[in-house]
Amino acid sequence: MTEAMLFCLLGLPLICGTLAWLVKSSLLRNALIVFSALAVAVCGVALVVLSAQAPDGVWSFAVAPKFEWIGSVLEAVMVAVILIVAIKIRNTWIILMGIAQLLMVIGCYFIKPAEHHELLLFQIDNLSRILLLVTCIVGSTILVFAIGYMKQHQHHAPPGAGSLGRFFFFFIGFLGFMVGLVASNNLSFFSFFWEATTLCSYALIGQDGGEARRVNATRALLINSFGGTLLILGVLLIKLQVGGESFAELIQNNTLTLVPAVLLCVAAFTKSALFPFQSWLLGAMVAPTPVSAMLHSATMVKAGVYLVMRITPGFYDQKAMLLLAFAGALTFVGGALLACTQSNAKKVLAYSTISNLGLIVACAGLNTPLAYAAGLAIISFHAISKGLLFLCVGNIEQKIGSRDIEVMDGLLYKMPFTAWVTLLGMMSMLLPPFGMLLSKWLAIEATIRSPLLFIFMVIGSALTVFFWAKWIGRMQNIGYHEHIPREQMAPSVRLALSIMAFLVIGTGVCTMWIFVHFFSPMAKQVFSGHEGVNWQTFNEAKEFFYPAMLIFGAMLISMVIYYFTFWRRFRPSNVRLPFLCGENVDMDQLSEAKDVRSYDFHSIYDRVEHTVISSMYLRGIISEEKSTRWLNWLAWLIIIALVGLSIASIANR
Amino acid sequence: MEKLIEILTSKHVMTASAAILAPVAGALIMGIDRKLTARMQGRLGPPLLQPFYDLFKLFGKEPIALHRPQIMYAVLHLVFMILVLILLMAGQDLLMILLVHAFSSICLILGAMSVRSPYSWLGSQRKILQILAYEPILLVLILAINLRDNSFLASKVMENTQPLLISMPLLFLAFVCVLAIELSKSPFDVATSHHAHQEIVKGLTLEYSGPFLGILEIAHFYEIAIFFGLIMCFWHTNIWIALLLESAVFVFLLVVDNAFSRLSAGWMVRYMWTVPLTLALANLIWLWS
Amino acid sequence: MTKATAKSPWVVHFNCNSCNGCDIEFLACLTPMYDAERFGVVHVGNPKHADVLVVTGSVNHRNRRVLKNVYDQMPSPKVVVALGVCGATGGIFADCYNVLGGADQVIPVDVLVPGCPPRPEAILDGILKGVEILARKKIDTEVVPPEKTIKIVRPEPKPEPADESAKAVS
Repeated sequence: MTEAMLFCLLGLPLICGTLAWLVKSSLLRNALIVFSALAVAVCGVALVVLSAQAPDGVWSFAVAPKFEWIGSVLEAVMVAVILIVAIKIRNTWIILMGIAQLLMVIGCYFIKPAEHHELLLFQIDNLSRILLLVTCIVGSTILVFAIGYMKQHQHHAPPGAGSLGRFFFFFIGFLGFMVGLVASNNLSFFSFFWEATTLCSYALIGQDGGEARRVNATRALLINSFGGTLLILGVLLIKLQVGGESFAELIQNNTLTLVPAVLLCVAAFTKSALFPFQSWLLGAMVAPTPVSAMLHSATMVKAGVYLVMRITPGFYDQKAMLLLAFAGALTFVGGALLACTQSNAKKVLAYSTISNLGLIVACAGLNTPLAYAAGLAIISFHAISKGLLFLCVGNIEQKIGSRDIEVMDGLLYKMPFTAWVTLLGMMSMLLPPFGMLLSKWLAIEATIRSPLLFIFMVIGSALTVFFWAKWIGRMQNIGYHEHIPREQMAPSVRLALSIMAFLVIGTGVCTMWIFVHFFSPMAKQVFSGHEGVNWQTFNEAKEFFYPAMLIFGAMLISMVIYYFTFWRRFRPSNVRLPFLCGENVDMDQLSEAKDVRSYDFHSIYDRVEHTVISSMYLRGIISEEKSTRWLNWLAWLIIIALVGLSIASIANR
Repeated sequence: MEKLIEILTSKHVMTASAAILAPVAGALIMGIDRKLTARMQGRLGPPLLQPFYDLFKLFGKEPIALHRPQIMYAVLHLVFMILVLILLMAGQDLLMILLVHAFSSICLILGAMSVRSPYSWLGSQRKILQILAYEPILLVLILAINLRDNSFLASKVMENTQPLLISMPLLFLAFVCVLAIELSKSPFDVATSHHAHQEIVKGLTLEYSGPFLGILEIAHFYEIAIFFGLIMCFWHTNIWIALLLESAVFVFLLVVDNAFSRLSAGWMVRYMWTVPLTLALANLIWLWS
Repeated sequence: MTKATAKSPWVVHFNCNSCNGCDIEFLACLTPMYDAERFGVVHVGNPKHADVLVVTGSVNHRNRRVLKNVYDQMPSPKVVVALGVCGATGGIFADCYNVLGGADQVIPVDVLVPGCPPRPEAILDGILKGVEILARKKIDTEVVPPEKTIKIVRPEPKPEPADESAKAVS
């Protein structure tokens, strides 16, 4: 049964995607997409539930060793496809890396591993399950959103844009590959899926055609090929050194050495767009919004942090992991800092994603049970909130034709549903009782033994508050309206936004419960076999969850007080316009002219002047270019130190 | 769940009485503040109970606002400020208390940003800068407490027999700067101010009036009580020394308030991130070694 | 509540069309010499927090709307104190083409403080008088804005000397 579910998840997206490409009728295509979204969500949940029934919560799927060639062949084919793409776009670097990858894959094939009686192709443990849930639920919701969005998008698409069928093929296929990536245990299979997601992201970023897309898609391919090369190099080293074939073996026998681990981590950095590899994710926002949502929340970037979280617990006593944490923390601060300087909504979201991924890597690098649990929590909560935010920004952009935050003034009146949902998403990123704040708090608490890291975390979270607060403030800016009209939107868009908003609220309400019952036992299980793990903060932090419920209670109480004392008694006659030294426009003028806002004022000759209030973007203080240069330099420094340290560890032995 | 009940019942009475008495204490401190300030300027000054009169008057006024969500943020601000006090009294995790306090401030900012008023918008942007300026110092303070007592719990600080001031004098100085920001004293009163009504026209609290301003005032009383309570925690072993410390800080702040003019928000961030933060970090390193 | 209202009048000061004489005298009330704060007077800079509106100077066409706006933005109960002769009637400017008259042309005035300018003691007295009225008012005290006909005095357009210019050209 479980196997069937897994193969459904792997096969269905590909089949549905291919059909969607071939089918000409848009009705049939939409039906196919809805079907595949439903199937992915249902199979994903079923797979998670079923695999959790297995002993120890680890379900594995094994075949006879003679099938081992499949993985290598698939991988070689995928690398060859990328190579062909590279030759087609004539990028020397990608071609070189592709050739290197191909050689290494062939090399891998000829290294004969130790004898096995069976080959563990797939294995699903707690970490995989979390990623599976995120991919299947968030991913399929984005898929539903894409139906309505892409229909509208295709009307305004530039002439060179790819067809809808092509888009949905890669889009649905992406989900299947991502499921394969988090479920696969065999290293060759893992690399195959890794390369497949790279290819999909390349195809999706270049969807709309044109110069800007081409450049950004090529950049994504280049950076991810670099990561892919490192990954395959790491796999090759693993095979050469220890002859390991799968993650399970490496982790159980503790045979993974530092050098391949560091290589894998750097590969993960490229995929997760940590500094200094962040440029591809920023460039990826030229793609249609569902693609951004997919890349940022459910798939692609989560693959990187998944790999990091998969391998780091084995090195809980290594100093090198602290450097990994620093790389993450640097990205956390840098991403938040640059997000403060942006007024482009998608770019703010992109930097915030990068920043949060940095936080996850920092948690993984800290390697204590508490940090690990916080990392798991951030992965899942972030995926939901960020997915929601991207969908909202996409919808807003389609409606108002701009992604500038400063233009989002008064949206609560123009598109109330989307605006409320966006506000919800943003609040879930920084306010209690939502999960992100809680996990950030845990991450900070986990860094207590390394003060420098702690300061990074603190500055990062302060900056995070800064840029979110600005945006929330701008979004909720609205005059007084007695009645707000209902918003017109495509049904699939409304459905997708509702599902995501429901998920955000649901996880927000149950944050404590989810954490205590899922994430912290998982972290406990991962670290239980190891000696010398710091359990003190972990146990203490669990104690504090009960008072944290007070926060939730306080929120409820204040809402009740507010409703009964103020909301109900508030009358339209109590409304006054803002203070503008008495020079306001009056209520009549407000209701007459559409473009008059309540902060506009009369100047000489009683002319109405439009006021512009801008938020702070610290533009005079921080320049994006310069800061990026410095941050990249620092990040390279840390990576080089990481690699150097790992090589030195060989010399020491 | 049992733990929750236990926490609620153990210091139940104490916490409740503190939650009721804190705003009274805060208002009294503010009354003394206004009286002393007037005397320093050679004036007679308002009666000691003036803050109470102001408060009661505000609740008797017409409730006018720009729109409804604005009021919600005021209520949230107050409730979370009370929660900070309750959590402190219960000896809870300091880091969480700080987050709740930050959330309370964010509610104030969001409330001020939710209206289309340039002055209120300006004030809220400045308030964000204020938070940016003082939050690192508070966090370093908590880190230092953790280094000393090996726990984040506020109750552990009280159990230690050595006063905090002895082990972290430099942090105390930095904390006084934070206090000046929190109580909006010159030269840090950039977001909203009791004296400068003309510059940014009250900034943050401009668009709240009548009972809603009253809610913010109560929250401010709580904040004053909390922060002066924290000063007393620096010498918790002896109540008289604590009171002495507190009044010394109070008078010092008043003198500074009267002697300095208001400086720019940028200056405030630069200053806070250099002098007090360096002091705090120096203290931290000293504790670390 | 009434007592509290009487003890904490927050004042906003609006300069309509004044020569600044009254304004300087009003600000003198806040100095240590007179110390208005001993009565709980706080000089707030905006109408939203204020209970007492102090108006100086006469009302003209330009600031009529502004004065009305400021008054409307104060939460009731509220009182208006008009300072000086100009605030009361328009003073020596009453007959100017652009002047409507005193503040009572636009908003209901409760206390008039005479003088040109009034002395600070008189101003303090006036404000306290206003506070007495304020304490008697309720939130829902209906205040009817004065329905006065606004005199519009514009200079008569001079007849164009068309003939002369025509002559000059020729």
